[in-house]
Amino acid sequence: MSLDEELALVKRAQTGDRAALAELFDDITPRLYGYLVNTLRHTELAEDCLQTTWLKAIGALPRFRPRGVRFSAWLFAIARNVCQEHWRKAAHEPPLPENPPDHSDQAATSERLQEKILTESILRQLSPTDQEILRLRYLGELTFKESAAVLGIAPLVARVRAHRALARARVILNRS
Amino acid sequence: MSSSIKQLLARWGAAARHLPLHHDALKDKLFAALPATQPAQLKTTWTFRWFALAGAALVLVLVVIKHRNNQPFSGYPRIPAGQGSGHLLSATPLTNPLDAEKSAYQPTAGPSLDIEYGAATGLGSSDVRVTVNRLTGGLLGTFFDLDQINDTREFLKTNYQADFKSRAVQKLARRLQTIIRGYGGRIDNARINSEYASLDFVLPQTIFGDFRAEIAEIVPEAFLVESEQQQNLLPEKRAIEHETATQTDILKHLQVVRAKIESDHRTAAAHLNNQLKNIERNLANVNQQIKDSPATTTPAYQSLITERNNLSANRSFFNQQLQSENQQIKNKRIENDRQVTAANAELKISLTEDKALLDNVATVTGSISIERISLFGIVQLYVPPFVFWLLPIVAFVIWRLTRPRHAFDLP
Repeated sequence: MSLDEELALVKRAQTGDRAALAELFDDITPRLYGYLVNTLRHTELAEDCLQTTWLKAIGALPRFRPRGVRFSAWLFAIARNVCQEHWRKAAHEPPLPENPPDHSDQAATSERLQEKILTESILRQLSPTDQEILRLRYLGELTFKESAAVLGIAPLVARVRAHRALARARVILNRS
Repeated sequence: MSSSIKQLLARWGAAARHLPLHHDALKDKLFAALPATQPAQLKTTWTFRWFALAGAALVLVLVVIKHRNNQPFSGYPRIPAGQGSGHLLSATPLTNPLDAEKSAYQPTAGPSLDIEYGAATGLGSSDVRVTVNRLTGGLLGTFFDLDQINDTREFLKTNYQADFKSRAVQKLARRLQTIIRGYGGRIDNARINSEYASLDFVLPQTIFGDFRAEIAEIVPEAFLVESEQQQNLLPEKRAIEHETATQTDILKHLQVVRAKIESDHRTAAAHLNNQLKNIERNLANVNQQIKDSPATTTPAYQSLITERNNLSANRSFFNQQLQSENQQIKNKRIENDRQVTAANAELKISLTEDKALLDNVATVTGSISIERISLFGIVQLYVPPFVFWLLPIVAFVIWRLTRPRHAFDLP
């Protein structure tokens, strides 16, 4: 969904249009949920965080100002904050067992499965910072500007960070 | 390979995007909560404050730079010690060019008019001379410039000024003193402290080029500013020549006068002596006639006595005349000798001044100032000034590009 389409829906949602909000939810949730699952590595926890994220977003919807980025970027930033809140709280609790990687996609061929395992292996070898920027770029489908807004950095820095993360991932890929 | 990793990640991202298991339930739950949510207050942030801060910082940097640029280069005057035409009054016998320099110019123990006036007004030495000429009506220049246009002679007096910047002021000042003395120069004034140093000196003109070359090698080029000023002392030279010619003419005239006095005296004395000889001869004849006269009561005898008395009176008169003539010639000789002596003295003064001027031309009057330079000053020497304006701007642009940005307020 383009920026303009998203903004049109957000404007409608801000006026209480539930259909617009539902459309936004349906469009963004796969990316957002994928991001949360990949970040938290726990499906139930991801669902909880997804719910919290949306609740916070809906509560703060009237004060959302696009400022050149999509609504989804705002949601990703909220989700990131929710994750960090969870990690802060979880620091005093025993860690949840990590869900095994979901490779149960029946449609996936053996080759696709191997590719998925390889990619996740590469990502795990990268630093959390590199993982985060690649996650936002390729899973969240955010632009550099949006990624920068989510991470609270300059777009130029986001671009450089992504470039370096890709370079490191490329090295790991070549090595493997 | 680049596209391969990107494609790999793109496919991985696409595969990872899916709806949660309880998607619909979650959606319903959210919509159920929707009416309960209250719009939050907008939190305003004034991002322009960063512009204000950056602007203030920029102004501060510029003020500091401007302040440093406005600092006087040296606490001491930069103008070479006294120069000009006032030295022509000097008539002290001189033995070497350096003494001539000292005699011909203002005493170097104290600051010259140029220095004081220049320090007070900030004018250079040439400006000071122009001002002084204006104040004095430029008498010397205009008087002797009447037919000077055809006189192409040059008597160039060199004034030299060097401004050093150094981190070790005292060490450099001592080294320069050694160099000046090594070249046969004389230091007239030296003021040295840890921040500033000032040296006034005199050097023979012949080795001035070598001296300059040597001191230029002491510090890097950017740390030395040299200035050389040459002034043609032709007006002074012409004044001296005019005075010499005048006194020579006076001496010649006095010699002619002396010859005429002697000649007139000889003529007058010869005339008086002849008169006296005639009187003596006549007197001897009268005395003989008186002696030979048999009677003393005769009229003839009385006549002889009267004649002898007349002749004696005449002899006394001419003797007085001769004595007067001798006294007059003596007085005239004394007066003539006095005038000759005076003229010779004037001539000698003129010749001495001429020698002093030539000796003056044969020397260089120099002044060296040394200022301690800060590390920032060294940077300023090598970095073009616009960089100091550019740096804050570049820093500001970089900061603007790389600063963290929060595109939106998070709940």
